[in-house]
Amino acid sequence: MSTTVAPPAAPAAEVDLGEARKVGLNTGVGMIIVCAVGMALTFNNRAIIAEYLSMGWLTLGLLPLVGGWLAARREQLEGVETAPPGPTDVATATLAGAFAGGLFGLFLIILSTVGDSLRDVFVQLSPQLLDMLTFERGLGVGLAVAILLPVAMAALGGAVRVAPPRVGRAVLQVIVWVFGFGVLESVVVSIFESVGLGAFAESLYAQRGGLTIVGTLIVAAAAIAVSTLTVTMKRRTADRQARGDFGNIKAQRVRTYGLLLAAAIVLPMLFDRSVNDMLINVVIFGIMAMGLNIVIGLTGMLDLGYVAFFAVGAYTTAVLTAPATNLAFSPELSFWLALPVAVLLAVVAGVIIGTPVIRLRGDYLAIVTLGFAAIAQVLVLSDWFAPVLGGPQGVRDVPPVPLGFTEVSATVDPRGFLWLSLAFLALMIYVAWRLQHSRLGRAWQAIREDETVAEAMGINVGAMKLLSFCVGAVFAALAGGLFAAKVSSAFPTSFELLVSVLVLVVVIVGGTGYVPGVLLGSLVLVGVLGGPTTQGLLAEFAQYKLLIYGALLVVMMLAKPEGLLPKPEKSREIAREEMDQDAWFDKNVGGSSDVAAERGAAGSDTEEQA
Amino acid sequence: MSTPILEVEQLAIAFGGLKAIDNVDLTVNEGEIVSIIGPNGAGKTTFFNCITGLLTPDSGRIVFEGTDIAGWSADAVTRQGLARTFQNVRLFPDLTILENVMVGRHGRTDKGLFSALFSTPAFRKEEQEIEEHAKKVLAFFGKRLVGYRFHQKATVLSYANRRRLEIARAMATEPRLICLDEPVAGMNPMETAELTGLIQKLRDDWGFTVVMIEHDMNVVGEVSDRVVVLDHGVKIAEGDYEDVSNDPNVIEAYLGRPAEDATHKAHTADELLHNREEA
Repeated sequence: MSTTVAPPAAPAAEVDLGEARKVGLNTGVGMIIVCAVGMALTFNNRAIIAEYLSMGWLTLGLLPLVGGWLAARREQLEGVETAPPGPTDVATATLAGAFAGGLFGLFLIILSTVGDSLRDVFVQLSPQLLDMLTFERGLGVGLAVAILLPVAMAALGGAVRVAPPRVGRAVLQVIVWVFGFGVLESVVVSIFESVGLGAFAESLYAQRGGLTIVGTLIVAAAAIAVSTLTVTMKRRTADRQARGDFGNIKAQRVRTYGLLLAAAIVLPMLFDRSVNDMLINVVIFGIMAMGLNIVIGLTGMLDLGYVAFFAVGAYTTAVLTAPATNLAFSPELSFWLALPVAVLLAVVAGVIIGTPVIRLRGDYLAIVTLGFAAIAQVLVLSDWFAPVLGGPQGVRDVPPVPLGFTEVSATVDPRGFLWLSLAFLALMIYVAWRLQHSRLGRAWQAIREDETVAEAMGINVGAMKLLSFCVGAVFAALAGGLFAAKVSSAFPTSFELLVSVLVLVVVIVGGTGYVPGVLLGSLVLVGVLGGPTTQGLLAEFAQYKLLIYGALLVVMMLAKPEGLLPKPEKSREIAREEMDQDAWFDKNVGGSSDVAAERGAAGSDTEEQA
Repeated sequence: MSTPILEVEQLAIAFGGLKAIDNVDLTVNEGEIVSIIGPNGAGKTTFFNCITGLLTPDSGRIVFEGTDIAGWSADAVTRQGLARTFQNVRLFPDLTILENVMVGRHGRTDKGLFSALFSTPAFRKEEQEIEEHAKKVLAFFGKRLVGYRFHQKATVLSYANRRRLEIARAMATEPRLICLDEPVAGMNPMETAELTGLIQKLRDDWGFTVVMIEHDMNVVGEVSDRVVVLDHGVKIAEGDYEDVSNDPNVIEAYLGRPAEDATHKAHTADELLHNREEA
């Protein structure tokens, strides 16, 4: 280019009315739904900050906070000069809050005037809800709060977005920490008690639940301190890497694994029974989700009949180990003999189910496997299998897992069972990781990307898909075996189609194709919200579990389709290799002269925006 | 140099009533570069799909190095030593550039589930071999696809580089014969000239026999030992570039008949063939 064109002056930022209206009205509708399904009122019984903030109000307030954050976001197009984030973006966010508040205020007016007649349809629009929203002080106060709360929260959300990352992060951390400490009161107290600081923890909380004001301030201060520390550390690492100093990556890796191992050993000692019990569920569904991740995330086969293999594992283990009198067949084997049989049977089931369906692609595969899931449950309940599987009564009295001279039972000692499950988890993480980074894993991914081309690359697509199906079945069967031993029974109701769907949501929300992401998904969904038949940390969520699962799935698909914790690009290694590029080239191919000529051509080649 | 590596005899495939390939014969000798040309819809890509196993021909023989591979599945054909690229560039977009090429090694490696699980020395050696071979193949295209590019996703590449990566992926399968479907489509003249040179090097340095479909007549004229012309599924001419480009049938297939024959203009494929037989 001979003439340099002056870049156009950055356009002055303007308040984006359209964006504010869109986000604001959506937020308002969200707030109304939270009220109309009864979530606000149910959650209102749980105090976050004693006497000042309930979980119901926090839920209502978080929506406009997120809305404001979204409204303040402006698309940064590459090569187009845009005004830096500034007060106008906060104004957009505030405007969005005003839209939300207006809509919510309207809802309040409707509720207070014709709420009684609406209740025939919307049963949750109760007088108690009106009392909660108006603080029992009349419509005027209610309206003021209904309008001002979204405005303030949206403005805060916008400000967090616009503020420098250090401040923004700190504010978010404070909100998350206060929420976490407030909701998980019993867990926090039990952890502090086990390290001898029970009195301190008690002092954070009020008598009737919720953080005290002082407690809130302490938690907030801790959050700010941790946030500042991590931001500083991150910046330091980035600075060092910018200078080309990557440190000893191997040593860092060893340190990470060591920390994880220490956490796996120490943390169960700190938690109380209920938390350990919940974590067992997280681990079991995590193992299952890792298997489904191989089938869906790597190979791209949408298998909705996955629960069938979970049932195979659980029932095989249960039937082989339980001293059942109502069954025709009960050899009362040890868990350690039953589990390999369960895994083997799952592989057989995988081949039987897989062989006819592997030819199918995409949606067709999903529909057929859906059919298999339904068949599996009908079979378990059928009279035909009743003598072996116990029909609707299921299999009871599955014994604890023998381990050396002792036994590990989830009902007696959840801690020990959690350690056992964690050992299985570690084993399966290793298996998943090894497979993903082998030629098999690459072949699976190639099939996911383009089946025809994968075939043209010499991959036996049918065999590889069947292998993936069976490996997934092994994971599910192992999880099933553990599950049967944990709940010491196997009932048909534990193996509904819903299990397949929820595990699928775990994979998608966590991060498709990336093991840590899938495990995070399991922790968040199964741990906090609750699994298909198990309760999570928050008992209040049980009623709204499926609603939240569904909403989360929709939100994730729209906002972050790659999941909570997606597979990172190898940014660190890329930066390093970029520096090594010339060295690599000279060492390996630079010697020959015609390649050198090509390099000349390559230099003038125009790169590279596709 | 004149041992045949690929002999196609009376190959035919029809989609419903449309004879996409109509009894085509073709012999490719080892070390040759053969171009297949013809107007759009002539059946060139269908011909490729048949010989690489993506389509099963209705009749005819495809003898590759003495083995009849007609009706084999595509993966078996590739492992037999016949690789291809795709006209509409079909990479694995979510895999890295290096992984794209490493996938090409799949048919040339055999370590299975248990070697991978236990990470046996043989498995590690094979993985290393796969990676080294892939890097070597990528270095064939100069500096564009190596170094930091190894770990970038295939989607970051420019159109021309995607075409190069496709060729690299096919090269990684260690073919004896490589089928290139419009390798220079969408490239600028400089890139075209460079790739033309590389196609010759595929034969001279790597020992591949090359069959390619191409519309760019400069490229065809420059590299081809022999040119085959297809039209409406029928082979209408074969020979060196000079002969073929002066063949009246070929000119007619590309440009249509002169104006004075307009009244006799063919309306169907059969009529066209009939007219041509008369001519």
